[in-house]
Amino acid sequence: MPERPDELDRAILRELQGDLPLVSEPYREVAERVGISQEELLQRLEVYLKRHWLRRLAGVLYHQRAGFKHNVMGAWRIPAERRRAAGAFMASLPRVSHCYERPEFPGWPYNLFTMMHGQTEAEVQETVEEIRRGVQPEAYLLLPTLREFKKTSMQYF
Amino acid sequence: MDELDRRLLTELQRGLPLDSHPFRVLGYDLGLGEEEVIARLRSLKEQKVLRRVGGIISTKDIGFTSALVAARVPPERLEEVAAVVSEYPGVTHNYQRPGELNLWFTLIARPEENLETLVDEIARRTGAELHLMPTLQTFKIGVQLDLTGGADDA
Repeated sequence: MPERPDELDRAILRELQGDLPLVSEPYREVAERVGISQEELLQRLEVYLKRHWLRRLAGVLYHQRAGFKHNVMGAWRIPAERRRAAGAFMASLPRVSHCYERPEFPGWPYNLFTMMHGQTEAEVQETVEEIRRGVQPEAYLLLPTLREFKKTSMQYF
Repeated sequence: MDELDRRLLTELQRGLPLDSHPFRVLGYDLGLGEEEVIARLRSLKEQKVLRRVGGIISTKDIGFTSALVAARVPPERLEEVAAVVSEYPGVTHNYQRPGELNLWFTLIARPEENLETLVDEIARRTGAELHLMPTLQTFKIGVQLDLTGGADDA
């Protein structure tokens, strides 16, 4: 069984799922809140990264305000034997932020998904063309966001 | 946003150093002092360009499960169904998209919850046809947008 977060881990992750304070020593503040030293916190964070509980500590942007106004989901039909190579190709493109294989079902013949982001519509279209040329999909759909009903970060703990 | 802001944000998306003074380290390569980095990030947050600085938690590695769910909703009921879906704390993204499957949301289940049970409950409450689309293979995960060398100052 993989390691699961214990009570102290959860307290730390609770702090990190939100916002680190923008101060000179942000980790010291978090350490004080959970009652450990900064050294211990930094050691634990290294372990979390190794265990992959944390993908990274980093900044997260509002796409739109950062200039990426065109966000489109692509659904692609790729035969099974070419799927792995196609996924790797799509993932290599900088304007593709997410790429997954998901199951088909009756009426839904698409099996690879990409999230694509561009500062202009032309940039997204360019990425679509790169994918079309690169992986030769049997069919595909472009599904732009028409309305955002909810967009938030998960509160895990 | 100026060019330094863009470089700073591009760098910060890649990672915040594990160091007692992470913003000082972050500033080294950009030739910015700690205080200026902090001041710029505070301003970018006020401008709602920077959402947050923190941990990016790996859902499945801490024992949670997640999937994409696509729903077929009669257009006249879209808002009502979307509101029910958005009530769930495990729904983090909930978007209208074109086509017959017109509502798409991401759903995260806690270790003590079951994804299928949650989806069944949402289907029962909304009467919508739902399709659970779990991840079979991940090729890329992570939103790291390169802001440098882009368009004019916004």
